[in-house]
Amino acid sequence: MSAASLTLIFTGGLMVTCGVYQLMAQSLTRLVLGLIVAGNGLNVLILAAGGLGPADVLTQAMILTAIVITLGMAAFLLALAYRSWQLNGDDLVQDDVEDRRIARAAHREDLAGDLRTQRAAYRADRRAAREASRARKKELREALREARRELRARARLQRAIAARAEDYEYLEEETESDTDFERPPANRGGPA
Amino acid sequence: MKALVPLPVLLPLFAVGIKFVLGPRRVRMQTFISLTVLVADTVISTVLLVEADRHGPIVVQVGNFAAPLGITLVVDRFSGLMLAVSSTVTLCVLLYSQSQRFADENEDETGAPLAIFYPTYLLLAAGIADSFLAGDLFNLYVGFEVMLAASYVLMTIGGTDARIRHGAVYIMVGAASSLLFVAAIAVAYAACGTVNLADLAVRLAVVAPAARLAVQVLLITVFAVKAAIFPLSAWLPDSYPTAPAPVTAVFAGLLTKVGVYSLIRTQTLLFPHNRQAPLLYTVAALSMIIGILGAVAQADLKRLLSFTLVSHVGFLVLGLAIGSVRALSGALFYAITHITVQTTLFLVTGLIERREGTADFSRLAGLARLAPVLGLLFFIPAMNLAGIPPLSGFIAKLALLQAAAADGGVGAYILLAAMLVTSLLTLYAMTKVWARAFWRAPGEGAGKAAERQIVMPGSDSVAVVRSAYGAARGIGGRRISTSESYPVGMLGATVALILISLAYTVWAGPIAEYTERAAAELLNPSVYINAVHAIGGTH
Repeated sequence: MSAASLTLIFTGGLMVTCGVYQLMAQSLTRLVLGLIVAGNGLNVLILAAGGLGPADVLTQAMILTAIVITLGMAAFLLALAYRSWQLNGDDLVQDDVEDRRIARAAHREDLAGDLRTQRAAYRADRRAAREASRARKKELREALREARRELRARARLQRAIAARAEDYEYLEEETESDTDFERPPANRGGPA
Repeated sequence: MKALVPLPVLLPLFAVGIKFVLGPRRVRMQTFISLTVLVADTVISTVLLVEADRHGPIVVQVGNFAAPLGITLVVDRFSGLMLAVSSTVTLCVLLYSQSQRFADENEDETGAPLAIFYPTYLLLAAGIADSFLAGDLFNLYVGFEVMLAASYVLMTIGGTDARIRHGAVYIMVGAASSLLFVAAIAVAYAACGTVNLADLAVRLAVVAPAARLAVQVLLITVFAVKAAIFPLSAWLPDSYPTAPAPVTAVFAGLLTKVGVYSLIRTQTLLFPHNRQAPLLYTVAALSMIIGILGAVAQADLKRLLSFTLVSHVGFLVLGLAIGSVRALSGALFYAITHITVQTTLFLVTGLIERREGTADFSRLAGLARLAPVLGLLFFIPAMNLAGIPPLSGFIAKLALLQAAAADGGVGAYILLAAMLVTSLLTLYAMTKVWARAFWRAPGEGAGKAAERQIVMPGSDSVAVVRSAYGAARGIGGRRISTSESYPVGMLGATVALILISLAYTVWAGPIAEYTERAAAELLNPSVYINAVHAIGGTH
């Protein structure tokens, strides 16, 4: 194999590599560039396949045809990219419908996940607040009960004092006159 | 007789030239030319089919240049059959679209699509015919390119947002696969020094196995993209539904079949002893199952049909994978049935769109009562697609099942199971459409439209939703006119295709005999090679 055809093969290979790399892009303009470079790289490879002899008319015919086809395709794609830019302000090739559906489902799942964590945090907050308020209420109720108990005790004490004071009056009255014997004892309080 | 062979390519090309000379204003003249050319195409293809069956392959060296330099055109039983069926289908779809066009005079204020649609359509027909006739790899590439370039224009016709976006995917996939095709040609030429199929068949048998394998795998990949075989099929359901109904119909019926045709042709002719059976088994089974699962999940009739298309291409690959006469014969029978049936279904979808303004069957309802004619027109091809006896789809599938059972290998039995599951799921998908669009009470499906307008938070998700369901309002972002009655031509073309598919059923015997002969011819490549060499190849 001659050095010339090796050069051709490497050039062609390199061009196809560059072209394929460009074909991975999402912008139509880049895709057109990739298509042109890769297409011409392949034409070089056809040339290499035919050998460098002047006699091989067939390779030249094939390459010419391929060049014309690539040219037409590039023109059409550029028009398409222009139209896409006119309509959308970009020339990006979109993902296909199923992919977008999956992406949307994933997005929805993400949102739902966020919602779940937020709801859980909210619930925890609520629970903490409820716990706190319950504890406070309990405290107040205890205090109230305590106060009531004290009040009741004080009331009992007063009643006892009052009763004792009455008893004392009664006894005094009895010693003053025995005519009041029938009178029932007024306001006898409960047990002291 | 030989003079007829190049005509299916030449006539449409000439007609395109004449049309451009006439200009877009002479509509009647234009229509007359298109119809005449496609009728002539159909007649010529049928004559060629009969001749190729009687006297063996007809070979023409264009311009009488000898093989490596000259262009070889070959009509054998297989290509004759495909040619005849495809030109008939193209003619019917042309009638349909003409009638639709005459009914909606207001297609476009500039009149541009009118002036472009028909010439491009004829170019498409020429490209398809050239692919079927091509006797060398490079001419096959040119045929593909003519066909694809025309299809790019038809796909993006009108230049609406949705069509540009979906068309870009379609075009890039097509262009990338064309690059691979050129690579395959370069490798084949480097290995064998020829691109003539007959010469390649002879020389590939003696080159290093690695070189042969490289050519074979490249060709399988290229044609798998064109035919939308499973791992390489994602582009199809995404791009087809946005195009106008007649365009989608002819794409669905024919373009993938051209890919399948080239796959079968190159594999049987060039690599008769190196069938990549395990690979083909795998992709056939996966195409069938995953395609039909995709179809079951759809809510739009056009997308559903596109997925069944991916699925049913698997049946054709299956015939090639098993590779017996009976299997190939079944695959050929199924190919012509499927071309007709799939085209019909898309045309009926076009009629549904015309009546209801949508093909989204979550919104359609009560069509069986509102439009019983549509019901009948949908029912017959749908049942044919699902393979319900006695329709031709059943006959072809039965032949494939028998071939798989006769093969007896584990792979064949797995395929057999996949085939049965796929048919059942196809029936399920069709029943789903039927139950929703046709059997629900009228008005039940309404009110769903609002659900489509969900706008999500996030920067570009509004645009995503709009373009994902772009087809929901108008078709492919383009408003369509609706009417309660159907133009005669649209109805007539659909009915004609249904009658053709019924004819396959009635004359299943003679057709099956013919496909058996064609399959036998495919499995004996020396017939093809000798016919080409007899006319003056390099040998």
